[in-house]
Amino acid sequence: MIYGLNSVGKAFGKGKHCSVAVHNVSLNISQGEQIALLGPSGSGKTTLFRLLNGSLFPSTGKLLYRQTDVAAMSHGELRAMRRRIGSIYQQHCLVMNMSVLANTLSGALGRWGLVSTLRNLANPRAAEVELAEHCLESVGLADKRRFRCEQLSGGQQQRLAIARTLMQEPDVILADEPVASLDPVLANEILELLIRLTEDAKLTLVTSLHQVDLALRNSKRIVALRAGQVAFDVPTQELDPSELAQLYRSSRGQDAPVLTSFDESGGEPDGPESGERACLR
Amino acid sequence: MAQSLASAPAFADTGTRFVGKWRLPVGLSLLLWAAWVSNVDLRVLFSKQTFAALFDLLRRLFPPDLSLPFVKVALHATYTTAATALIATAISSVLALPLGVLASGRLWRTGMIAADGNGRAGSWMAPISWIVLHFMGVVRSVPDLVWALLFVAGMGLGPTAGTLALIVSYTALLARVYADVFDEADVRPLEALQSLGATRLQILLFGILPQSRALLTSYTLYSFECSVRSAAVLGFVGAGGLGYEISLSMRLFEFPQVLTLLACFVLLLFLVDVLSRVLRTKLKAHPETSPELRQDSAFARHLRRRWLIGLALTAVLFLSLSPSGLTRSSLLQGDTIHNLIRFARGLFSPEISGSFLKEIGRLALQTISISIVGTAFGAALGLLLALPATRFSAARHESLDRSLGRRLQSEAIFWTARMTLNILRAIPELVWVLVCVIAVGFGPFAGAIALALHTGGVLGKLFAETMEDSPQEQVEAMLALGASPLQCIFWALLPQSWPMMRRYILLRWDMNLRVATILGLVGGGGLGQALYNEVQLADFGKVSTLIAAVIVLVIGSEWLGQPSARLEVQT
Repeated sequence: MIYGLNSVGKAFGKGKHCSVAVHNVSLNISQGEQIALLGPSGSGKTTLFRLLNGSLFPSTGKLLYRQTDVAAMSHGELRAMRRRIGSIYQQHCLVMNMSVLANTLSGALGRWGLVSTLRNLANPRAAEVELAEHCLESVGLADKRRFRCEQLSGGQQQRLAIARTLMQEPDVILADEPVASLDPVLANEILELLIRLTEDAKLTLVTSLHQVDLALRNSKRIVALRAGQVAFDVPTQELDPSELAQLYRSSRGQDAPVLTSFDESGGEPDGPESGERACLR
Repeated sequence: MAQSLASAPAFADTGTRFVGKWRLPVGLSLLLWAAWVSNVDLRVLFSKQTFAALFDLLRRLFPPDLSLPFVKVALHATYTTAATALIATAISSVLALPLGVLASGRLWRTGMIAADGNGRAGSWMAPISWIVLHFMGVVRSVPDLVWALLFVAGMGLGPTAGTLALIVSYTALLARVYADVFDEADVRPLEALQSLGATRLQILLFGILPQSRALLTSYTLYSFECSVRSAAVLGFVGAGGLGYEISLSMRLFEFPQVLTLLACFVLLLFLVDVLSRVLRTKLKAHPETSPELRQDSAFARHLRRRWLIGLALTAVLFLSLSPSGLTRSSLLQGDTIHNLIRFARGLFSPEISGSFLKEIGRLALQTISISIVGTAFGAALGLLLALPATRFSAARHESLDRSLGRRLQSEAIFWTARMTLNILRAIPELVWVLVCVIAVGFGPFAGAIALALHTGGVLGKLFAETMEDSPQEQVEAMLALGASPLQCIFWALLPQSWPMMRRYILLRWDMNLRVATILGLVGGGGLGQALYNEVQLADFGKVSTLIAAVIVLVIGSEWLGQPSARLEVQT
């Protein structure tokens, strides 16, 4: 098992300004699974992603990565964990005025010490370049290695983001709305590429999507979030269409909370952690 | 490989590589030449005598003079300096806004928006805009200290001369900066506005100003910080405030008093820094950038706060008028106008004998090399200090340094670096020159070292701020893939900010060339020494020629600098 989430909650801010993004989420994710994460805007998908890739820590509950509690990890263990988790974002995660090759190489940062970090910036090692070129080749960008990132189109940039993730040699790929800013044809292409690559290497893939049809077509398990909670978690073929319709309809309703605010929660919290915890109760 | 490059010639990097290849050796040989001309001698710099002299100076500074009468004098001088800077910045930013609009190339001279139709490239205003731009350039190329020197000669000692000098030079500076900011706004929304029939004024109000707002306030705040420093330094030539007291105490060998005054100065700068930091964050808050402002009540509070800031600022400005010397009686003293006319007449009969021109040429070369060495050493020093002084916006990433030990350690390093930068930056170049003269003797070398120390502080702070302000998503992505903060600096923050940082270095070099012309006023070599002597001797013919030389030097550097800056932006 890669991930084990045991009633995980995440709140931001404290006291009056506290808002709950993820609440009481329990999930298990095993090696090699392909999961699509659905849910309307603001339902907590991005927060869940940032919890999974170690950018955030749960305010309540336990998040286990390979049976280890993330909250109890040392600095080194955390970095080791992040090295094995590849993240792909909607956009803006590449360094625009660096070359395609350099952006790909930066996927290996977690493996390098200070000397390699500096050396590879000026004159990258041949072995690393070879690996990076291999990654670029597998996403079909081999001929663009000398381009600057900003010269790439949106779809190409997303391919580059995938190449950088491959450079990490990850176990898990987390993709947070990876195709939200692409047209349908390109979106399909990118998703198919992601799935092909993860299947080849037997990686775990978690993708959050806005496009329900893409999710149904490309994944084996659907996890739906609504207002920070798991609405349903089923294998794709067992999915009930009416449930799916409900998921998006309720979010359009007037009183449906997107981020639940707890304005009435009184009392002075004595620290950010306990504050977050208090507002999840 | 070759084939794919050939198929996309517009994107191939071979063209830019060529420039890149020559940049380094050319730059290095220029630096070596400059180091040779300005007598750089690293052996002297790191010799035993140097350290002994510095140590002796440090010993004689302590303890600071904290007797009540002197503390009163120091506080009053601080007050005068702050008021001068505030008034000058306020007046210059108001004057500079219309001038900046006039000088904007995009509005009047080039591109779609400037075109009036009838097949002309620019509008009928284009020549006026061009003249404004270049007149501001000429005014700006005379250092504020020289303006102060002239105003003091014309109106006598006191803060009025300093305030006027600051207004003149900061109006010119800000007008140029504003014009640049306007021209850097994204052109697509502007063309969209134009295509739906917006007039030039509407394009300015609804397209350019909203885009430029953040940068305008940021640069204005920055120029206020600079003007505090300038206001203090202007005292060195008799324009009141802290600098006047410092030079007085130095001349009387009252080093403990110097320390008190410097402490006041640093304190003032610290307050200004805090104030501008607070204002920056308050002004940065905007519904689009801070989600909490999307609530109506929070937004109303935000607006109220803004009004309060505005009111407070107006009150402070009103109170500052009298200490800054901008009163009717001081401006219209009986003989001020008479003096100014006599002085202006002297300026229009410059001395142009061959031997004098030759001397000027030698001094000009020396001035240039001081500025090059000072900027290059300063940029290196600044970069070195900026790395530990950059703070990540850790709010977005909770896992940074979770253990208390690591956090304390990095906090200590961070604050040490920030403090060093602040001290380097806080102490004006001219005071650094006085210190360096004690360490390595009179001459251009002292000037270059002084310039490098101050430039290091200025650039270091800017570098750190640029890296902090550059997009953080990339950093988050890199941290998420297991990179350390230091790796993020080298692989994301530094490459992202480098174009901006390069611009800062060039801008600073431009400024340093101006500074290098005045380092001589206190023994740092270059044109300044001659200028000071001739003003003291009231030989305004020679003063006129020397000022012309300064203008030629600075404008020449801009001519040289401009194409290179354009190249830098492109590559």
